[in-house]
Amino acid sequence: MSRPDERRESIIRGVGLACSTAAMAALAWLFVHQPESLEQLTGGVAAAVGVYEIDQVAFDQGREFFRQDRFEEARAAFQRADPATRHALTQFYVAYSFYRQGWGRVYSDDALFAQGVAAVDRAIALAPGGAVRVDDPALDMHTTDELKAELEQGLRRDASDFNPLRVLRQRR
Amino acid sequence: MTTPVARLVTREALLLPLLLTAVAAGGGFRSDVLTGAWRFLPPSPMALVLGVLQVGILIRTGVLAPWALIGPHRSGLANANGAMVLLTLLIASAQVFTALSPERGLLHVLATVFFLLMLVNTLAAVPTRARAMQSLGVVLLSAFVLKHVVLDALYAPEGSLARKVVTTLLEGVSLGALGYTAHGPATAYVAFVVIAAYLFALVLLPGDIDAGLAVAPPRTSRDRRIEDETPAVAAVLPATPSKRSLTTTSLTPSSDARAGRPDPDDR
Repeated sequence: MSRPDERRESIIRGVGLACSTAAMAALAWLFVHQPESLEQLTGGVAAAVGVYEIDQVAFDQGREFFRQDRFEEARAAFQRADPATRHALTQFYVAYSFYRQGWGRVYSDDALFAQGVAAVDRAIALAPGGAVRVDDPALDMHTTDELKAELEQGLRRDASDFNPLRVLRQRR
Repeated sequence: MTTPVARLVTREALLLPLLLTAVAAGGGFRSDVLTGAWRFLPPSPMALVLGVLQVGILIRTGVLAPWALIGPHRSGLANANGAMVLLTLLIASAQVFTALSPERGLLHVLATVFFLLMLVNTLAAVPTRARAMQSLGVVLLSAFVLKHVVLDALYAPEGSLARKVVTTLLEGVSLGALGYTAHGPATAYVAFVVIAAYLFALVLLPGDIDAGLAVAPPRTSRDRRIEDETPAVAAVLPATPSKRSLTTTSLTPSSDARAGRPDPDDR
């Protein structure tokens, strides 16, 4: 082989190695992050390269619904704002909406609380320091730690469930 | 860059690793039958074992010549490309079995045992390259039909009453051990493309012919008979790596090769 051919072969081999290494990294990412839809896949890729942005208008609209205790509408707006579920703050509000909707004076809705735990876990996983802190005066719990503890407490079965004074507690 | 060498380099460095990585990703793809939510299953340890056996078969049957990908005669960069092809081939082979096996329950165990026995049997038989590819194609397509056509139709949630009765009976007889979960239609389409792409990738792999190096295949009884009956030809045999030339020289009056059509792939 002549020298230009050798050089071209080296370039092809180098490019091929870089591409196949990137493809293997993408495969590992796929197995770890488990995107559930095309939106999550593209959003995850965008977040991985640092260009993912939520729809701020939809997010603000979701917070407005949340403050009016219209939780299903709020979650629909949050879903529009963060279709890839890659934004920790949005996932915190989603988890909070599950908590407030599922909370009851006598008993809590386990299905909603379980979805709340899943959402708060996503928020924790996405947050840079493993925790989200929100300074929103409309909220009683400002961190993911408090919210997760409250949701897990609601799912737990123990003797305190039979305490009649439970009816006096307040929704947070 | 249209020389054969350039084409081979492009195939080895770019096409094969990317194609096999796509197979590995698609092999683990599942879509939920109700919500359509995706899942990507990584290869299980047992699937990796099946993948290793599969790669072993590919080497034994001459579909893959590993020394054409890795060796001291190649540069470091070329060896890295070759290693990447082998690594992606292993994962893709494992993921093909993941795509064709139920995820859990008794059916998963049965499918795994079936694949294991089939691979061990092929490993012991050492068929020719063409026959190994034919056998693999038949097995993969049969497993595809069984899982993605028969079982998915049987366990579909919108099935008729008769189908529900059959599945309930099956679950009852197996004491609920079958545990099969139907998938969304996208899963079957992706699995079909995965099988086709995997078989295509196997065709593209550098085999014995591409390597330019002869494998030392196990001698068949016919070869041994030729050596015994025609000493002159037997003396030439070790120096004739081409199977085509072997077939030509075997047409001696005492050989039974005349009885059938010479097959270049027949050992």
